[in-house]
Amino acid sequence: MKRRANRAIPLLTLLALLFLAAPILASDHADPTDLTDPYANITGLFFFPKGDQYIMIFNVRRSLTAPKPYDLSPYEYVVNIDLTTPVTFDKEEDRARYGGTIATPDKIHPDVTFTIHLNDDTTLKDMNVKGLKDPNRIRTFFGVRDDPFIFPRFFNVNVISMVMSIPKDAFPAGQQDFILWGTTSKNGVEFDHVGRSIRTQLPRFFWINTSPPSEHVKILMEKKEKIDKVYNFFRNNKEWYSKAVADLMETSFLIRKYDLVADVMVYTDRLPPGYPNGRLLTDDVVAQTCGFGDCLLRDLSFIEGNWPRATVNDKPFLDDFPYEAEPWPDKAEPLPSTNSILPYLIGFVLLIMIVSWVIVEIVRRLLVWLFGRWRPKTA
Amino acid sequence: MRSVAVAAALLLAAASARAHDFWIEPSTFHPAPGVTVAVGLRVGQDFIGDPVPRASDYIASFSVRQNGADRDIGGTDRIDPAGFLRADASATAVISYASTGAYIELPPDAFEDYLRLYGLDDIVASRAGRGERNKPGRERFYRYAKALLTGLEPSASVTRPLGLDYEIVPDFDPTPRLAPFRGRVLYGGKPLANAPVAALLRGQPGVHLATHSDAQGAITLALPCAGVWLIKSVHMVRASFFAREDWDSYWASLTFEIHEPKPTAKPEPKP
Repeated sequence: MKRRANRAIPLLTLLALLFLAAPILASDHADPTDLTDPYANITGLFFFPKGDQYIMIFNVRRSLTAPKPYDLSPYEYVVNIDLTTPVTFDKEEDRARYGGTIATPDKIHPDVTFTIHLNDDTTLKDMNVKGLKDPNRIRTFFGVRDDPFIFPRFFNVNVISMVMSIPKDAFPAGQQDFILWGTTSKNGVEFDHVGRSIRTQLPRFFWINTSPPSEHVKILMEKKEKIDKVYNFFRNNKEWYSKAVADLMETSFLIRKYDLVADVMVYTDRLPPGYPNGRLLTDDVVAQTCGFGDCLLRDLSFIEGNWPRATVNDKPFLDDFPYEAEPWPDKAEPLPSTNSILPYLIGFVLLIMIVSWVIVEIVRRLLVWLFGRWRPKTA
Repeated sequence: MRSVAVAAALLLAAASARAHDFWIEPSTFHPAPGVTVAVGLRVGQDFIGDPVPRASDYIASFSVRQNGADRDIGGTDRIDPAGFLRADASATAVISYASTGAYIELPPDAFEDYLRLYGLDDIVASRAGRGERNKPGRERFYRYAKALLTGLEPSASVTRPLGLDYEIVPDFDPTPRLAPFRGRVLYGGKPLANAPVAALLRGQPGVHLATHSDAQGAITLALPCAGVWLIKSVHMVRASFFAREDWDSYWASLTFEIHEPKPTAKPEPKP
């Protein structure tokens, strides 16, 4: 019995890997996995008040150390702000996790849009601002800065940063609540999305990376139903290895009961600024996110970093605009690996085919032999 | 090993089922369009319940009927809330849950106490007539719970049976305004006469209305105020000859919220 169970493990593991393959492949568009299109990769969205201004920072291109020029011409960077969809703040759990509650997520829409194109030397090619009064008063910075993410893997590296200081009176009078999200696209195809920090980086959220926030809940609901069925199947079998697959799914891939929320950043003047009420540069979002259930990045920060875990950035932030630290010196980026798993996969498939052929041939010869031995003998 | 686990689960279910009601408690009874509604299952008494995590093995059906379409309600096993749905909210929606049967065995006295508590005096009499008063109560119970999610408009689908073995079907959508609750009790899709029915108001354990269905299965409950209401009923029949149990019980519930009437603005007194 035990041997039979052991033989089933590879099969179940293969099934599980097949199931999990989609998130792993698709998470190319989000941190922390490697990227096929690094200039479309969003690394951070920040929003906080400063005097009579709101500071909005939108960063892309993780682990940048290479010198200019870059290949930025095909990319479009967009930050959207919804000023009119109602947000409430009476649910403590939502406030702690998402900054507030959006009762009608399918109504989320952009009232204000910043559409940005950069030259290959990171200077501004053009910026189109819709929905704000007198956008010429917005102070801007476009260029390479230190990556402000407090996370060991991204220490000593840079990002391409877009910083805007927006006069508060550019927004409608009395505006207190803001819903923000950012996207990147290349040749009109959306590649990445950011809302509240550290959401689309998690494997279970890759489904929403290229969809507008108004569709997020619908998509997550549909995926949850499917994933739950697979999880429930593995969970309710008696074999330990079936339950082990369920355990693996539970921590990394199962869409949780508190996940059915659109991925946007909520900011309100009603509450003190700081993640998840907007995001300050100094916010240790990895630790804060762990505090309400998602500890994947905190684990990684211990695995890859030193003791004690870093809780501040590797470079001090500036007191004045553009607030992010100066960039790290240019240096050659590590070459991508030339190894490939494809030969192993092909070999594995060939091995399965050969073994299958051998089994079929043995059965065929056995049947022929039996037929010859037992067929009625004719005179 | 599995049989031990199943037995333990059944014992747990049985323990919580003993003289306990079962109902659906959504995160909101009046969702806005597009809102995600967490659908909790509750077991308890006096409309005070403990969460029941989802257990797929014990679910016969779990679905929502909204905007004319039925859709299964998904969820994660061992997790409360048991399911989630995305509210259409254009009209009142009906959530329904049906369990597979679960076996329970109670000592004779405890079984009779529970029968009396739920108004099943005819079963007490039947046991006495069969000479079973000193025998343990062996029962298989089935749960059929429904809940109404108020929509922008009342829905006629509220008044149509869902095909559950035992269910309470309102004669009209009771959610928009306070009115006497009128409905039917159906067993096997047919009206059931003399079924005990009770109504409880959430947060007010003292409010307990009781009635029996008439010959046409009809019931009327004069609900005194707005709020979240639980209408419930239980029906018990003799099990088939070959069954392990002696009795099959069917538990129906219906939860919904009647909105407080909005205060009308009084005209300013003329000077």
